Formats: sequence, structure tokens, C-alpha cells
Amino acid sequence: MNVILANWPLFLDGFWQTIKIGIVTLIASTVIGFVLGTLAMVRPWWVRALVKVYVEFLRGVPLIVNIFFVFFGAPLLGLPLSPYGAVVLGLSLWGGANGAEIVRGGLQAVPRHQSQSARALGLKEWEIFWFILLPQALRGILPAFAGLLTLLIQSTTLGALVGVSEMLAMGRLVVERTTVMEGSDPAFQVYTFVLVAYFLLCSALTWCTRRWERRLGAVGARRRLLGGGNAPAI
Amino acid sequence: MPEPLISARGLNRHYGAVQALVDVDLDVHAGEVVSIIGPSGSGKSTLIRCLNGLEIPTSGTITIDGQPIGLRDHRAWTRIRPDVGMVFQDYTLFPHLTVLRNMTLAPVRRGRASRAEAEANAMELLAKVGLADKAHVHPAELSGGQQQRVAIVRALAMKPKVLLFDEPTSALDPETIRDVLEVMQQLAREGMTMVVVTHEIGFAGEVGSRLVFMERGRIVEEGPPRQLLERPASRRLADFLAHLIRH
Repeated sequence: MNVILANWPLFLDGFWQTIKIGIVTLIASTVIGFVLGTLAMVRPWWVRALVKVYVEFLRGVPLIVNIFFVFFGAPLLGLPLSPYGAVVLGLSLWGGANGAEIVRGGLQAVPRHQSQSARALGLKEWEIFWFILLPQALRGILPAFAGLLTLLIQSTTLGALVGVSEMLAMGRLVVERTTVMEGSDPAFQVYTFVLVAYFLLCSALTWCTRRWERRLGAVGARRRLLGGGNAPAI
Repeated sequence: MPEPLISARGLNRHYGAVQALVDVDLDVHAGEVVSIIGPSGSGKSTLIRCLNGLEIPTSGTITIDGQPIGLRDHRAWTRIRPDVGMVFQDYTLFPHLTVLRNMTLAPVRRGRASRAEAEANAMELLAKVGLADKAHVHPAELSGGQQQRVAIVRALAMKPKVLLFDEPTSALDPETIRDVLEVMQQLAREGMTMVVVTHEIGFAGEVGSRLVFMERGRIVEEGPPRQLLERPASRRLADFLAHLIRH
């Protein structure tokens, strides 16, 4: 435990970097995911085609390769990206593509007659999306999205590979420094600590999304209990 | 005769090589109850779905309340739909909203009433169909017949000029069909203009002011219901009716 306490400022710094990457990535992935997932459902075929190309491409690329691609590719395009920027961008592009697929699936799972009867009532297309389709789709989207967000938090560790001083990189630094300066190898203690820290971070995220899911699902659960044979398939 | 509320001329609808509608003309006047019958696949659902733009005819013209509608003009259809209510076979209430919210969403969004007015109006309509106590429950807590009655008053909440019914009782249990038909009957008595695609020959005969028989995308015969049911002029209608009676 000594090695942890002795290097506390370093760990705190790494933790802060991880949180910074995590928050920006989660927000950006969610925004990209919802925007593209929605665009995957619109009328003009070429919009859907563009979204599909983007989504299929990024889903077919290992995350780490995508981060390397952004990190080494950006300077060639004259974009001076810091390691931090490259990681955030690489993670967000990838997370957005996967998020889009989840959102599209959720929207598609809402029965067709829902938008049809909304249209028959004179609602406009955006109103149908906002008031009818999205609330029903969220129930399916949320659990899958929660999994994606947890995966993204875990993937912030890939930042260590392009030189971002996030939590894992700081752990490695502490291990190396202690080994050299004190001649003892604290790897197990340090990585156990890092493991627990990530676990707590992801658990906190899961706990938040579960709560939200439950709030959304409260109505649905009651309906399933009381709905009997006449419950429409949702 | 005054100008018809809905006037469709020369409607054609193709799905690839299949012709769902062939040169269909249909006029609906205010206060009329037009029942459309015919074997499945005869184009009757396609026809009424053309009347509110859910289905776009391949060719033809549609005039609603004196206004010609551009068939592919989505904005025009969105504007006109509040006046042309529709009730579907499978009720299609919004499962995530309460009955009351199901009924007030569209009127409030379209600016036809304030929230308070819309709610008062909805409560009145629910009371009329015996479901006032269900205002705050979600649709899945209702039986099929109750859901369909809500779907009808939800359409009425927009104060439409005409109401289209696409086989409103086909998905219901026999016991609940009567409740729904009673509501429709009451609407007819109150002078509501309705176009009803139905298999309920009894309803078509008693309540309808006009009967339309379709087969293979064409209107084969139309006229006063009694006359058509008792003395069908065409062989096809006679066969269809005989078939119904046998089942």
C-alpha cells in the first residue's frame, strides 16, 4: 500500500486524465451515435448510404488500429493533434459508429404501425420521432448503450500506447520508477490498484445507467404484468 | 348535391406488376357512412389509405374539402390529416403514453386546443365511450375492445371532418366487437362522415348509407346497402355474399 500512497499525486493525475478522456468520449460517442443512428432512418437513400459506409468501416476496424490511424494520420493532414486529442477522436469515431448501430436497431424495433398512426393523426415527422419513436426505442437502446459506454471507459487505457498519461500509463511509470530507485518490483500491488480503480469507475457508470433504465422501464414492467394477452409487442 | 367532402378520381396503385387499385372513383359527401366490402386483397384497405396519404396512388387525383392535394406533397398531406381521422385494425395506441396523453398529444401539437381544453375534451369523449376511469392508465392495461374505443375517440379528439376505419373490428374478440360497433353506430347517428372498410356485413347494411363492393382493385358495384345486399346486380357480389353467409 505504501507504494500507492507514496505516488498518490501521479495516480491522481492519471485518474484525472482518464476521466477527461472518458467524459469527452462518452458525450461525443453518444451524440454521434444518436445523430447517425437517426440519419440511418431518414428518407433520402444517399444519407442512409453515407451513414452505412461510415458505420460499417469503423465497426470493421480494431479500436487500437483506429487510434493509431488517427494519431499518425492527423499530422500528415496538417492537423496538429496531441496524443490526448488523437485518443479522444479515435475513441469517439469508433464509439459513435457502434452507438449509431445500436440506435438504429432500437428505432427499427418500434413497430411500423406506430409511426403510421402518428402520421394519421397529423403529427409531423420530427414530432413522430421525438414523441413516439424515440421514447419507445430508448428502452431497447439504453442497455446496449450502457455496455458500449463501459467498453469505451475500459478502452481509454489504449491511450497509454500513444503516450497519454492516463491511469494505466501512470501505473506503469510508478512500477518502473520504484523498480529502478528502490530495487523492489511493486507491479502486482500497483496493477491491482489500477484494476480496482477501473472496476469502480465502470461500476459507477453501470449503476447510473441501470437507475435510468429502471426509471424508463417502470411503466413497461407494470404493463407486462397487467397487460395479459392484449399487450402489444414492444 | 353539394360538393363532396372527399373526391377521388381515377386512382391507380401498382406494386410492381400487381395492380392494387384500378381506375377507382369514389365520392364521399358530408354525413355519409360509406362501407367498403370485398374479399381480402381486393384493394379496399389500399383505397382508404390513399384518402389520407398513407399510401400514395400511382396516378389519379384526390380532392378533400374542395382542395386538390398534390399526391406526393407530404406537407400538404400533413396539413390535411387532422381533418381526416383514421382508425386502424390493430388500434395502434402509443404504449408509452397514458390514454389521456394519447388523446391530447396531436390536438395540442397541431394547435387545435390548449392542453387544458384538450384534456377536458378528451375526458368528455372517454366518458361517452364508457372509459372515463381509464384516462390515466397505459394502453396495455386495456382489453382489445377498450383500446379500439380509445383509438376511435383519439381520432375524434382532432375534431376531424371525416373518419376512416380500416377493418376496425377484425382483430377483436367477438364479445368486444359489439362495443366498438355501438360506438361507431352512435357516431353515425350524430352525423359523422365515415368511410369504413369492414367485414361486418350487418353493420354495413344497417348503419351505412352507401355500400361499395370491391374486387381485384376495382369498384364492382355500389349503392344503397339494402339494395346491394338483397338484390346484388353482379354475379361477383352475389358469390361474395353467399360465401360470407356460409361461413
